[in-house]
Amino acid sequence: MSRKIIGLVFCFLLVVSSLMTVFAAQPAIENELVLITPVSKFIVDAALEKFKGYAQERWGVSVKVSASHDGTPTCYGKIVEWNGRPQADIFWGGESALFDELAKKNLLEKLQLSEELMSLIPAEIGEPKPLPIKDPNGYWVGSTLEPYGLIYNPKLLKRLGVDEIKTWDDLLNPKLKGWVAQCTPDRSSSSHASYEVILQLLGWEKAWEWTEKLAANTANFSARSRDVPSTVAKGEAAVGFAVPSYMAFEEVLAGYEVKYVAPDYCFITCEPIAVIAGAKNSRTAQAFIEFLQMEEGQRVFMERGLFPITPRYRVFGAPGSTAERAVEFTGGVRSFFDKPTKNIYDSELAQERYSEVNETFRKRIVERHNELKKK
Amino acid sequence: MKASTARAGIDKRFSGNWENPILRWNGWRVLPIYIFLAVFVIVPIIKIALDAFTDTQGILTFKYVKSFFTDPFYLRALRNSMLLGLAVVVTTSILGFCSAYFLLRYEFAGKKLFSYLTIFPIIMPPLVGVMGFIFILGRAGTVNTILMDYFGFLRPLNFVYGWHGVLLVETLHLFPLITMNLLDSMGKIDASLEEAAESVGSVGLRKIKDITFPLSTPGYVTGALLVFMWAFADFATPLVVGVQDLLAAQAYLNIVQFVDRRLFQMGIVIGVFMISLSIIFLIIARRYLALKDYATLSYSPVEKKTLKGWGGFLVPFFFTVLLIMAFIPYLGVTLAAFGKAWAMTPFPVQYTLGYFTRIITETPKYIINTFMYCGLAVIICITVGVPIAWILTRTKMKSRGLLDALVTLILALPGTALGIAYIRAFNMPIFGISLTTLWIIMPLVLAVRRLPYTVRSTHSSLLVVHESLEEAARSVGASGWRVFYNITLPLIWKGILTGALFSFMTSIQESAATILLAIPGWETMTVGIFTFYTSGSMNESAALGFILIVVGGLSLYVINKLSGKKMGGFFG
Amino acid sequence: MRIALHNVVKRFKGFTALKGINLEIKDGELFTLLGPSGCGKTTTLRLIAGFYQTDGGDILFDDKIINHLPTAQRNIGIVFQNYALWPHMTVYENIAYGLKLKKMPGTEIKRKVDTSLDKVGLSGLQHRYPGQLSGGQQQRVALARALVLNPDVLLLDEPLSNLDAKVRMKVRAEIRQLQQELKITTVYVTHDQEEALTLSDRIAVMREGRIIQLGDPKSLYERPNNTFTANFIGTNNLLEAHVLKGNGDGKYTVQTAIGSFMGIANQPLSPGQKCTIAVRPENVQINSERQEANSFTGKIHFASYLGNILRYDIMTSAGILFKADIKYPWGCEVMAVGTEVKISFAEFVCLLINDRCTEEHNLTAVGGES
Repeated sequence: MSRKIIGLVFCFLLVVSSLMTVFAAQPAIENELVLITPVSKFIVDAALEKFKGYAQERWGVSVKVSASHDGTPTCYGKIVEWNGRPQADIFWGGESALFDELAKKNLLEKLQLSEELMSLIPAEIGEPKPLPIKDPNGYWVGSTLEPYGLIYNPKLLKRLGVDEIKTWDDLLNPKLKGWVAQCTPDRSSSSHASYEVILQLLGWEKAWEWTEKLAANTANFSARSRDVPSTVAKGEAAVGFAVPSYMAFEEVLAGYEVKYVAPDYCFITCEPIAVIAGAKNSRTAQAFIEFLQMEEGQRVFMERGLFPITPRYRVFGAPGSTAERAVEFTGGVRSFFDKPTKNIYDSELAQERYSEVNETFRKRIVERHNELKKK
Repeated sequence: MKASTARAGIDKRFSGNWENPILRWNGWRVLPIYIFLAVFVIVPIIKIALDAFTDTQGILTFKYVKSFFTDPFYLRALRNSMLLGLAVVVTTSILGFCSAYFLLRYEFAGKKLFSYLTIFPIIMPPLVGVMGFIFILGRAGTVNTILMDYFGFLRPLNFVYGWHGVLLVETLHLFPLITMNLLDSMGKIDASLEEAAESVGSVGLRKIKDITFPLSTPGYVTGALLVFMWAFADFATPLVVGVQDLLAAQAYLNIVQFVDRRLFQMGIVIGVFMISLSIIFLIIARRYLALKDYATLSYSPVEKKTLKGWGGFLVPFFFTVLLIMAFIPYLGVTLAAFGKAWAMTPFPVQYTLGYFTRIITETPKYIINTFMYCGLAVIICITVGVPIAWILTRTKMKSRGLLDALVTLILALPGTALGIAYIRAFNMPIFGISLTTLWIIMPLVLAVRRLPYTVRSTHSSLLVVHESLEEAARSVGASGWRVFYNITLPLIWKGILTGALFSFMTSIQESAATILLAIPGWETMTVGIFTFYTSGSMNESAALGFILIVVGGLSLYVINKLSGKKMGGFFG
Repeated sequence: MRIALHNVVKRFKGFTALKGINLEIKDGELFTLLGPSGCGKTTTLRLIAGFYQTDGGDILFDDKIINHLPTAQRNIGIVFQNYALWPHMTVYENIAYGLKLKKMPGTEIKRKVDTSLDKVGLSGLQHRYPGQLSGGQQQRVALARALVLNPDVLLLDEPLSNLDAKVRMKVRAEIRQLQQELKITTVYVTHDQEEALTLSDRIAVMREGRIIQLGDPKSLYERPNNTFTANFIGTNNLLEAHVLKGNGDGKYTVQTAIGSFMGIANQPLSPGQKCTIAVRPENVQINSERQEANSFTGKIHFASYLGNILRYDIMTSAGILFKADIKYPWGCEVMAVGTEVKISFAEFVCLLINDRCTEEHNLTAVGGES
């Protein structure tokens, strides 16, 4: 008899579960989304939160979101290591060149953005060297525009008798000896890019001399690039090199007194975003990327010291809103498309000599740091 | 007249040729213990060792090892790491010896409190601990702000950035390891040995140098070994205070970047190097200790002298200064956890509970995971550790020496190296699933890391339960396991609980191994500290650190209540 | 070196260990402090060594008060119960350590260590560690270490208690011989009365922080002046009694539960006074032809054959057991239990002891054997 009951229960469960799969297949997107990203929690959490609301409204799906925060190289390394069986759905942020590499290795899924949204995004930005902000082959697309400039602590500068920072060369002021914060290029790809900007701006030898002078003003190299704005906000350092605008703005929102400047030719990233090939939640991933391109998505960036990826939007907000504060903080810029953006950063050249720059930095700067400080 | 002479006999009998008739016929029952240790300790070590000698095609090669030993950068990092380790051993030894000696030999004001607080510095949440130092002693820290604002200093004093900072932070963090081990072994020196020295004219420092210290070496060597390996393997402290040419820092930096395979491989080589070093040191220490087995369980402790005059003032002063210094990270972390936008003022101007609200509402999983993984880890520790302790004390199995050595080895293994070893060993799929994709690996690695504490504590409790009590139970017809549950367990549960709590307390602080293994969804509080820190949310990190400190402090309080003064044995 | 203790008091938390000790130890004498554990004998020794400070009274070496002189400056040699050999040093290093501290030249140290090792019969073991030696050997190393500095005073704290019976006898004799040879003032602490009797020039019997009798071994054995000593040293038959009359010349007739006896007393007694009679078993005769002052009958209750003597426990009419020894029991027939016998002993072996706390002593002492 008991066998009969078990049999009945089994049949019942079978029917229920098959029915459930049928219904579960109905929604347009999966109910989970995993990101792997070097982009700060500050941005990522806000974007995911907004997306959750959007997905709930549009598809009635409550998406369980999570993000693994790693440096760009680590993210890249992990995706390569997973080799088509990824533990995350989306790779967001970092060097567009790395995305091209992944696409070449067939580790990215083609984007399914609508033509309309895609056409809103210009192919490139900046002169004399244009910077691609979407992939012509459609594997990745930029999400926002983000300058890497200088953060400084005005209170501390005043105490040190240094004028407000405006240009790259202001960092070399001897009064700043011991008060500059910087990160080594091998620990942060964004720092790396900023060193590249200097190299391409000044030429190899002159740039290294400049970097040596910068190092002479640096007490010690920060453990991670994110430490640079933190130490400036805290007052441990007066000026920070190669800091993205939103990180500096994040400190302002946290209540710290810091200021920000993006000097000419500073490195700009479009924080590319792509779906990883073989992603378990590929539809949700595509939906998330599409969401970021819409006004609501772009708003996430605009309210946090970043700039829209398309000329269609400009940062505006009610007086006193965070968006307006961000505009004020970044020197009145509302869009990078308002006037020509200066860019000299050549991504291909940078990738070509990636290790060489790291190696030279280690040999010429890090290993000689004590000696440089004495100069 | 002589205390605890009864215990003397016990020890002799254990080390003698006594054999447990029960375990003789069911030795196979402890086989799972050996399998556990083989799979989770030996296999990962062998795997990572093999990795260091094979290239990407799996062919035997010495090129990575060779390039390690021919690269002047790594050689310098190696030299620096060794020097740093030695320097930390020297400084912690001085502090540890003074504090242990004062606590054991003198009565002075506030002694009870001091002896209780001395072990506290061991609870230092990763990363935020050293950040706590920076908040107080950094260029814009409390001390420098006061100096500049009120004492007219033009430039801040550099307390923490650089080598001296690493030395300062690690000394203040690790000296209790020496104190605890010395309290254990120095406390067991029979009073007559020192009196005999006095009778032939040896007094004061001379007596300490010739008699007291040499007799304390068994405990001291273990403590010093642990301090050395800890300092050697610590990467967070040096990186935060701007020191990078150290092996551990390089291993970490190389492992967390995946792009450059050569660097990644170098990270593995460094990991193997650290493991080899801990094995070598362990062997040396064991050889050395084998010659110097002074252990007696029968001793009459040296009578404590009441300090008067200058001594009565200076010794409490020493402890006050030492503990204030050692509690700096707690102060820093606490202020950062509650202070809002704290910059360039001695103390925060505004206070908020916002960071706690944020971690509790946004990332409750950090806290839930921590307690779940650590709870599971403790259960594993007890399941595996108690039988090991039993085997060590109550049987004459041939493999006892190996078992004992393994347990001590785990204690000395750098967490980073173990983490790397786990990644390498368990990402091969077995039945289609690799262990690194299952969350159970987190409690497993925690359990392995903290197993020694449970073993030590149970071991020392078992030592003082005379086996004649068990024999008596057997004589009235109780079977092997019944004897354990009815007789032994009621007598040693306190020891087991103490060890388990200690394992728990140290598990929640663990980051070295787990940081490399955690994937999204598995984050513990320590991993959360890194995540928040990486994203610039120092205050949320501090809030997590504050919770860790509070939980650790509570655990210590309970441990103290349970075990009395005998905490030294945990590390030995 | 003479040692004197004047009214020495020592207190520990909650109790007084020494309640006023007075001692004069002569130069070159082997003086023993004897008593059960907790009597204060080790405390006295440690006060002399300087490990404790007195809480009252004075300690004098020759005529100098040394109450506060640190141990290291007292020029004493000490052997501990557990020998206290430093386990991290070899035999040689253990002995040489004190000499090294005196900054003695190396060759001189070597000569001295070798001589002293020779003296205790351990030549050739210089390079062993204490853990590799037998108990007897360790004991001798400890002795050599104590003596190598030519101390004024040698202090021995139960030095033989951790040795096997045979070794103990041998070392006992050696210590005595060595002490006589060196003529060194020695204070010896033991709870073993036999050891004390064999070794000592004089013995102080201690109890509860007081010296209750002091004298040479013979006088302590033959003329104990309190029941504790009578009972602690050797074996005694103790019986409660009260004085009937004095017979002059320190002799008295007393009444006990068994009957009346004639005995001698150390101190004058008055009729009616309570006292205890003490008769050593070896002075008791069984079924003797000789007419003795004291005799009564009883039944054999238990017989124990000890080799050199045959001891009978005899049940007397009052239900009190009385011990009697037969010397030279070779060839003697052991009497069956229940055999009725006549017991007798002389007047001069029947000691009449009067101590103020007879009541208390009897509880523990009567019929007991130490």
